[in-house]
Amino acid sequence: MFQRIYINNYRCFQNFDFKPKDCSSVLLIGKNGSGKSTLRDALMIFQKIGLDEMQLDRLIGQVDFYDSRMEIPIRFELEILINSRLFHYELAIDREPNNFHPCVLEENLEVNGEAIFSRQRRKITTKDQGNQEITLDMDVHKIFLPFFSTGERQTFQWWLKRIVLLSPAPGLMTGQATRTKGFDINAVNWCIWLSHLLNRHPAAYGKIEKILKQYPAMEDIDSFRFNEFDMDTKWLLVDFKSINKPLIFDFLSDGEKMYFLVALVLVSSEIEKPQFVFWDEPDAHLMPDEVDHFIRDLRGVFQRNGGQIFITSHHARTIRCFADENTWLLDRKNHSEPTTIRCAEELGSDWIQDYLAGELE
Amino acid sequence: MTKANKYTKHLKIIAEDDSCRQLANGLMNVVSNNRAIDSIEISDGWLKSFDFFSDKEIERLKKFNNRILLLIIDSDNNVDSRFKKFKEKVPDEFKDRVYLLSSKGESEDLRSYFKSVFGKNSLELIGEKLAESCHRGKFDLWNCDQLKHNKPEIHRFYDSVKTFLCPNS
Repeated sequence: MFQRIYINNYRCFQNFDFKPKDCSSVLLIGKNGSGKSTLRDALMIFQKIGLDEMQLDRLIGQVDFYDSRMEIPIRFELEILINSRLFHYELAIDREPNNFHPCVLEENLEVNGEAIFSRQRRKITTKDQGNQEITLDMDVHKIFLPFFSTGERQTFQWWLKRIVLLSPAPGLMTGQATRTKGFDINAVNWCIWLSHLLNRHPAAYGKIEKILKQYPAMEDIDSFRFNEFDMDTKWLLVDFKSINKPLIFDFLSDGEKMYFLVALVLVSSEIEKPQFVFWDEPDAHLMPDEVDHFIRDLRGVFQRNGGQIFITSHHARTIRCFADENTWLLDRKNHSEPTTIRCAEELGSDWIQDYLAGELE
Repeated sequence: MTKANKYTKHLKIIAEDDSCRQLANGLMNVVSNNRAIDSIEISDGWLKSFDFFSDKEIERLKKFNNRILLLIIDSDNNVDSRFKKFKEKVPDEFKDRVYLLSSKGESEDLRSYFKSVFGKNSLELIGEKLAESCHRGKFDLWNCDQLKHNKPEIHRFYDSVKTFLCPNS
C-alpha cells in the first residue's frame, strides 16, 4: 500500500510531501494546473522503472527541473507497505557539469529501516547472497533498482511494475488487441488487459457483462467477443439485441467505451491481486446520475480487496462520494509558485460549497 | 441512478450538511446493492431539509412509489421538538416511507464519542460502523447517548430497506 511520496525540484513540486497512509481510495482535487497530472507523471517514472527502464534520460529531461533550477537535484522518495513491511526508496538526480545529461546522485532502498542497497553516484553498496557487504560500480546514467533485481529489490520492482496509470482518451481506445509491452496511459490498448483477464479468469466475462448491463446505454448489450484477425491480432466485437450485426468496438461512442473500461477496472480489481491504480478523471464521459454509483463501486472494490486507488476529479458528485480524510486539495497560486497539498480535514466544515464556487481560500 | 431504477425499490437521502453527508456515505459503503441508492441531497441546515422535503420530495414520493426517504440531521439538543416538527410535515400516506435520524447534539459530539470507541473520528467510518451494527442485528452502537433516541426509528428504517439494500445478507 502506498504510504508516502516526497518530491523536490520536479516540475511544479518543491518539498511536496503527500502521505495518504492507509486510505484505500484517495481523491485529489484542485484547479487546472495545480499539479494533479504532474503527480501522475511522477508516478509514471516509478512505473517505468518497474518495467525495467534503467536509462535515466528516458525518465527525466531538463524541462523536469523545477523552474529550470538544474543546480538543485530532483529528489523522489517513495514509501510502500508490502506484506506489512515498509519499503523506502530514494532517488536523487542531478546533471553532468557541462551538459544536460541527467545522472544519479543518490539511490537507496531500505526495508523496515534496513538498507538493501545504497548508492552515491557510481558506487553502490549492497550485500551478496552470503550477506557479505559488497560494492558495485554502475553507470551514473542508469538506475540500479531494476538491474538483475532479486530478493527485496525484486519485490519492490514488482510492485512498481504493477502500477496502473489511467488517463483515458476514449476517442483513441481501440478494440484491437495486439501484443504490446505495458498498458498505455490513454487506454489505447485497453483490450490487451481485457484479453489477458479473460484468458486467466473466464468467469470475469459474466461479471463485466453484468456491470455493463447496469448502464442505460448498454442495457441491450447481448455479448462481446474477440474475433481473431491473425496470430497476433484480434478485434473486439460487440453484439446488441437491437441490431442484427456486431459492432466493432471502435465505433462505440466515447461514453460507451468508458463503460467497458469502468467494468474492466472494477472486475479486474475484484478478482486479481490488489494493485495500485491512479485514474485521472474517471467520471469524465459518464452520465451525471451514473457517477455516484461508479465512484462508490470503485471505492468499495478497492476497500474490500486491499488495493488502493487515487483518482482526480472536478466533478461535484465525485467529491461528495468521498470523506474529508481521504480528499486532498492541490493548490498553486500561479505558474511560478510550487504546488501545495492539504487534506480536506484542514479545510473546515462545508468547504465543498466554497470549493465548487471557486471561493476556497 | 437510471430512470428505470427509480421505479424499483430505492433509497434517497437528504443530509442536513456536509457532516451528515459523510455519515450517509459511510452508511452506503456497506450496502451491497449500490444501485438501489439514489443521490444524496445536501441542504443547508435542518430547517431547509424539512422545507426541501415538504416542497419537493412529497411530490416525488407520489411519483416514485418505490422510493424510501431518509433525512439525516443534527438535533442540536432539541430531539423531541425536531422529531415532532418533522412528523407534522409527513403526510399519513408516507409515514412508512419516510424516516428521520439525528445526532442528539451536533456531528462534532458524535465524532468525539466515537473517537473514544474506535480511536478515529472519521464520520464516514462512524456511518459504516453504525450500518454494520444494523446488519449484525444488534444495533448496539445506537445505544450511545448521542444516538439512543433513534432506536425505534432505526429499527423501523432498517426493516424497510434491508431487503433491497442488502439482499444477500
